[in-house]
Amino acid sequence: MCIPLLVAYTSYSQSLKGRVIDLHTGEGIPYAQIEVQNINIGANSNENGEFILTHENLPERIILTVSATLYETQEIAAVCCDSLIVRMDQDHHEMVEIVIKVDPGILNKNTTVHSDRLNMRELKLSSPTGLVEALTSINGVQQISAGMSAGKPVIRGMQGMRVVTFLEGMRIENQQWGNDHGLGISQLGIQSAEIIKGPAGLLYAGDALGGVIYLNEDRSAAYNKVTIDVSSAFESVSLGTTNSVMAKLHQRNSFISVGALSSSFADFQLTNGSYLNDSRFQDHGAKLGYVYFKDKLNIEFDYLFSKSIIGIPGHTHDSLATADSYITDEQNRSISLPLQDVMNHFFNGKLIYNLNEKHSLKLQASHTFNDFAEFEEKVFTPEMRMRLNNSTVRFDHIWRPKYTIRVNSGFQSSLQSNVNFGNPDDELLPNSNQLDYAAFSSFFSRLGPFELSAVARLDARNLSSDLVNRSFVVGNGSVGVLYKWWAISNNIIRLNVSSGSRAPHIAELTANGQHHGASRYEIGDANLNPERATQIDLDYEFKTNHFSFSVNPYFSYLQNYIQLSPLDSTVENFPVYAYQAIQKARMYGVDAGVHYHPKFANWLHLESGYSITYGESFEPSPLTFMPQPLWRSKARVALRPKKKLGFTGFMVQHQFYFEQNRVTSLETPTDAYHLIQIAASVKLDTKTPFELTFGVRNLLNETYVNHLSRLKNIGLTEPGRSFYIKLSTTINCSLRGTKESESKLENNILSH
Amino acid sequence: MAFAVSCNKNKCYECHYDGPNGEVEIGEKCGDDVKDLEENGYTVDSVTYEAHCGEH
Repeated sequence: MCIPLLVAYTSYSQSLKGRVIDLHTGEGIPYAQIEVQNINIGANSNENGEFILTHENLPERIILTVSATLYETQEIAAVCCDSLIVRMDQDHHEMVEIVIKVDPGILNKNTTVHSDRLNMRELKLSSPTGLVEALTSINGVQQISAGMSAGKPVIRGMQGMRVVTFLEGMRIENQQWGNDHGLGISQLGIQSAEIIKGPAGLLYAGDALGGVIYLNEDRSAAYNKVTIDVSSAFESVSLGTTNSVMAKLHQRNSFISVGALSSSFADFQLTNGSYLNDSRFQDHGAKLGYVYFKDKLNIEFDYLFSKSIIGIPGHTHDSLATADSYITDEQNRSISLPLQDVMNHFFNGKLIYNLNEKHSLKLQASHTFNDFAEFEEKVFTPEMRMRLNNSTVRFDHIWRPKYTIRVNSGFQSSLQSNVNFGNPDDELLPNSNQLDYAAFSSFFSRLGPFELSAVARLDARNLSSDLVNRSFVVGNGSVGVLYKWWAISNNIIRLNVSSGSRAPHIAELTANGQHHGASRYEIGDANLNPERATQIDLDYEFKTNHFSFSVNPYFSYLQNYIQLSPLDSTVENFPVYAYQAIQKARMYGVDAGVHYHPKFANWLHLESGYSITYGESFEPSPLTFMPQPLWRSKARVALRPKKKLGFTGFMVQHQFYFEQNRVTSLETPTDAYHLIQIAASVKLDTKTPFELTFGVRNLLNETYVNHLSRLKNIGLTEPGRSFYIKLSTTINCSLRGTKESESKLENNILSH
Repeated sequence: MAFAVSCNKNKCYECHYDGPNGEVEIGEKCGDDVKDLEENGYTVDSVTYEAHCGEH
């Protein structure tokens, strides 16, 4: 284990310049990511490892986080300087340590609750088709989907409103109660995702009983350059195409990003060569980001637009419908009924003001607009159409009396309205208004080998509609401890106890109608009470230079747990489901992972992970929609080609989904299945580099259906074997004056 | 509705109505005629039936 060396030179310059180099070879590390904590701005090093961070008045004491693929992330406390050299040691496990935003200002290795961080660049070889599919590469995370479209995350068996997604601190509100309603966010411009499993993410939400997903925008760009990322991908099983472009500019005190994405997928092919009718979909999106930082002020603004047209498979006019009724011999991508037409506009503004070294203030305001329509039988008249508006304001005060102590307190409020515009006879939910208030405070402290944390939160909600008028007040808390010790190598153990409470959603209280997207008739219960979860989460990590292991058992005690239970009846061919409360239930299980990187083959990575969740009432009777246990293994080769054209990586991944036979009397068990994926990537290293990734999903053309799949209701299976290919490139354009500043930087670094 | 208005304003669809003995084809209709059919139905012998257009 090598100790990083930092050499800093004090000057009166307001630019922070430096070079990131390999500790052993002294060679520059290209595209390292440098972030200044609390100012929330960063830069990437160039091809030679050099970087410039410009800020007119950097605080005297700053903390930098420097990370790079294949290297161990460093957190560096420095006095304001104009040139520094960061020497980085190789991290053979690529388990990057970084300051996570979901627990602000704290390295993920120091958090008292286990958090997972997924860097989207790590998924280059597996090339997931959507953001939620990307998230499923984390142990304990699976998805509800219908083939390739509109996946919804499921964390340790919890789904729907229990899993709350944030984009740069903005809560995503777009009818997330429905398990057929997608997130409305693509992978475009997303740098990383952080996940806290269970109710421990109390700083952001008290009702996230299943977990918090925090998405980070990619704010990194080379100084004084325009960076344009362009990619185009093709997926054979659905003749799917995805094209995207993202441009980023970092100049002086501002950062601008703008991008667009368009994808079109036809009906997907089943393993027998036929196609699932109306499994086609189209996604289009655009986003804009702007960051301005000057002196003690940091302003961020993000806008995101998305538009999706998603076919709803499982529609037939056959009086005696079977699985064959939904299958066709012709693959089609033209729009046909029934379909979902979903449009989102997300606005997010953030203002951070660093009063001094000890105090910071943060004000965040966001607005989300969602227009959700389901067209069943008519082209112009939707059977169901709702517009959801949600406005949120949040204020934080961050107090750091010492470097080892951090207190974050604040309050937030949101106003939400849902209005129907469709056929009144087909309304699934009534018009409603929801007003939320919350106050919270967190404490974090380091005491030698211990890290301690405590969070308290109070939430109040008023929900009003023509059918119900309810108010809820709930309090929650979390305490955690982390202990580090040395025995053979680094050992970390965490213990966290958290509670969470979720007031019932308007859908759970008042639903009464066909939910075509989920192929169900749903009935609510106006008398439901808030459900509550208390989770004990234990995490142990062991890490050497070439081997790491982690095991994370957990237990949740649930009260008034609301679940969608099948009833033994149908309405117009749809099975009837009712929202019912289970007074006492428990969920427990374990997530475990191992990573081996042989010393004799530093290009090889062997990884394996296992996750299992049991859910049952105290009767005991199984809870519905529990994910299958999953064992995932991956062998990956990472290469650095010495020639201009060469292979950069290979991957073989095996996923084994165990059978799920712990089901309720009206659910059916799900068989076990294997999925194998292989992939490779080739890079042409010219001035404008090109990278080609290609692979095969479901290599063995296995016929399977996941226990959580929406296709299971109608007796259908998932896509068959699929070949994919993706071409991507990054274009760097220098701005005026860049060459001069680069020359100065070079001279400056050489002089040291 | 963005889908209905901007994408399909002038598009043509095969339409039918739900007659007393099942679906009855009424041929291809375009633009506002489709919207009118869907909103007001199809009238035969003073009886108005529900009409549908497009592939589904």
